[in-house]
Amino acid sequence: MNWISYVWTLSAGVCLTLAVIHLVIWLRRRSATANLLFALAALGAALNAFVEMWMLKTTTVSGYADTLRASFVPIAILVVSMVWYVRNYFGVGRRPLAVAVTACWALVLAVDAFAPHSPVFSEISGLQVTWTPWGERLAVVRGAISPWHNVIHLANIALFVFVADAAISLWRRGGRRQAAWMAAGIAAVFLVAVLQDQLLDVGFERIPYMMTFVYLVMVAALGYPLTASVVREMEMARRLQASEAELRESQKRAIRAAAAAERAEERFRLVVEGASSAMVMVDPEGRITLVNARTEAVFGYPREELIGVPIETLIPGGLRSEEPGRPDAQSAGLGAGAPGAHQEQPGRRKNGEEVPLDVGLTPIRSSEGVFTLASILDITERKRSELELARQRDEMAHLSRAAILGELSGSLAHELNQPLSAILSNAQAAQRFMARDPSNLEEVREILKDIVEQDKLAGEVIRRLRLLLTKGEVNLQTLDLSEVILDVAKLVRNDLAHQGVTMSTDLAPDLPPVRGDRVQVQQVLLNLVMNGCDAMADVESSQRLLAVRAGKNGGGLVQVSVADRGCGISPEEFPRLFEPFFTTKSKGLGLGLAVCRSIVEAHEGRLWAENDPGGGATFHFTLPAAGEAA
Amino acid sequence: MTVPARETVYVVDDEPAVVKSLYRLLSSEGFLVETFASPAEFLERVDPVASGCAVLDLAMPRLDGLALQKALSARGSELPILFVTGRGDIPKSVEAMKMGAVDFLTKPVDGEKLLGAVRRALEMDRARRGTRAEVAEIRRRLSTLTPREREVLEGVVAGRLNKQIAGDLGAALKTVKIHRGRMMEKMGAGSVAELVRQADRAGIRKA
Repeated sequence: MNWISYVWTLSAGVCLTLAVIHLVIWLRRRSATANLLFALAALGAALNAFVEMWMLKTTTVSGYADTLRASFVPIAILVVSMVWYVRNYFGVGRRPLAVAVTACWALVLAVDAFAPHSPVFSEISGLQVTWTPWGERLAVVRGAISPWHNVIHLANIALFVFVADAAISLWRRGGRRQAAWMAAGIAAVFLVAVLQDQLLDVGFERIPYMMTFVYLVMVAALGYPLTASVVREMEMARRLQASEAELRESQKRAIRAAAAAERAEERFRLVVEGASSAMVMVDPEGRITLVNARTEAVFGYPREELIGVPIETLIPGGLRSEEPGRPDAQSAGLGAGAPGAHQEQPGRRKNGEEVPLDVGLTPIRSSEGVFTLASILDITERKRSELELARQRDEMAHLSRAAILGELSGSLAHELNQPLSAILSNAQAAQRFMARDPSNLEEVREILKDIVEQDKLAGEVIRRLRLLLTKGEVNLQTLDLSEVILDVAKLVRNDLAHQGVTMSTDLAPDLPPVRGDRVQVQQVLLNLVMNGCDAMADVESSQRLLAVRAGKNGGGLVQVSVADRGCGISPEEFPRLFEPFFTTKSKGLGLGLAVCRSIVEAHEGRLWAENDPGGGATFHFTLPAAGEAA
Repeated sequence: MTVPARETVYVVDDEPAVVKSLYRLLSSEGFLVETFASPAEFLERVDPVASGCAVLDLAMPRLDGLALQKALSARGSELPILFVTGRGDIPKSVEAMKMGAVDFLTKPVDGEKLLGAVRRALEMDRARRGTRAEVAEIRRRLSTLTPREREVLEGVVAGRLNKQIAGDLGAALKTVKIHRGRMMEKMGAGSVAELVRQADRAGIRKA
């Protein structure tokens, strides 16, 4: 091997690679004629390189002649396809010139194929083997030039004119770099061709035949834009692909987002629809924009009749917030109060029926203004059960009162007997004074005054009794606790005396009035007092002391305490003290304390018990002072 | 407090109105009435030998009627007691009657019933009081007799003749007659029957 083998093979390889690349492109895209033509040109260049190498290595004349003849085929292919490539790809070059080049080469090939000699030499005289300046063996032909040689010259001239014209057109059209490449390619061809001819003419023969390089340069020069465009196309295709992928991805994302939004909306709708309370969305003008199934059920309207209707249709009072600081929202019939602010309001059903509602408001701020989502509960049942509970409590309280009165009946009979007894004796005494002669009118007047007083007293006893037995409604009023306590003291006075119990009262002079039901508060006191007495049944009679105290207890409460000197509450009894039906008495119902506690709690107070360190137990209860409750 | 000269109705009740009305009713009948607001006060102020009667409320704080009755009798008082009560308490009333209560009335008390009961109680008191005075007089008279005159009286009351008595005593008949005349004079007895009655009262017939 020598450097010619390397260089020429290398050139052939480069050209062949280009040819293959563009051929593949054409095969993939049949409309890309330019690629096909370029591939042919490159193929021609590659073949030329092989043939030339072969020629340079021949040692016989006949062999050289053969290779010379063969060498015209690749050159023809190269030149012709190159010309048509320029026309096709760059769109420049004159057609007649292209045709002329083609025709010339067709003629050359024809001569080459059928004439006895090659189109260059009419006769080959010999083969001179020389050495290159760098010492490589080299075969150079010698012989007479054929007249057909001129056809090749003609073809070359036509080619030169064609390419020059094409380059100029390109330049004018603005494709300056391409034009420059083209011109450079042409210039190189001619430079080399002319140089070699001249060198041969002056007898400098020791250089190789180097058309291969010329063609290589030409292929490279002309093929560069095409190859570059292929690379660019590929780059663009890649980018397109990438951007397509991106596009598809973003499309997918958009679809997913839309689906998510739709699902969220669907879920919201399902939540609202399935809510156990009636949900009504109201716009800033106070018109209904959304209702759920429960709303239809509560109010009896089908939803078509509700959309767009003022909220006052359902809730005559409008959606009011308890927050007073927003007159603007309120004037629009809207509440923009804290979320979840609940309020009891009457509503109206389609049939005109009024329905108690619990309305919770949630403001929803949107670009269109403040909407209000009202969560509405039909509290008819709750109201009913509240009333029922209160009724049962009152019933219980009444029963327990009746039980206490049963225990007290003997004492109460006595209480009533005293004034009746006094009245009778007084009246009969008066009759006697009247019957006397002269009648003692002064005495009679005194007696009548006493009778009236005693009668009133009896009436008072009966009133107290009746009050305690009243089964009427709970009547909350402002009460003077001292008065209530003294009233109870009178009621049980006789009973206490009978049991040998001394009761003391210690009432604070500044005792504020409380809010409560007189009968029920009396009942609590009565119960505690009687329990205290019972607790002291086994105590020595001088020790049977019951102390009732009343005073202020911080926090706007009034506290009443009933302390006995009994044996106290045992640890076993303590936890069950306020349980219904728990009793330590042989004839007690066990309801007293349970009822007392429920009464006190209904008054927002507290009832509790404690053992005193010195023996005995104290029951305390609190009631809110009237000023606080009002 | 001085012992009232006349018989008095003592009223004890813790109820002032009742006390007052009873006071009026009893005074309209002309009784002398004294009232007390509690048994303790009554016990403190009443004279054990006072004459009259007591009207007590059975149910009173601290010291009830029964306890008061016991306390009175412990002090030797013989005042007839009338109970008034608001409660028809049978066991208590039975006990009260056993203890010598003269009557038991329920409130409200009818005026006529009460006055009647008080009248009866006072009569009872008076009668008891009268008997006691007679015996005392007989006893006083008996105490003026000499032993011999006493012996003669015992013989007369036993139904023996003067001769028999003279024999019993170993004295002369004439002496016995003088003693008998003096004894009959001292005893204020006009006849043997009257003397026997007096001896019966004084409880000396069997002696």
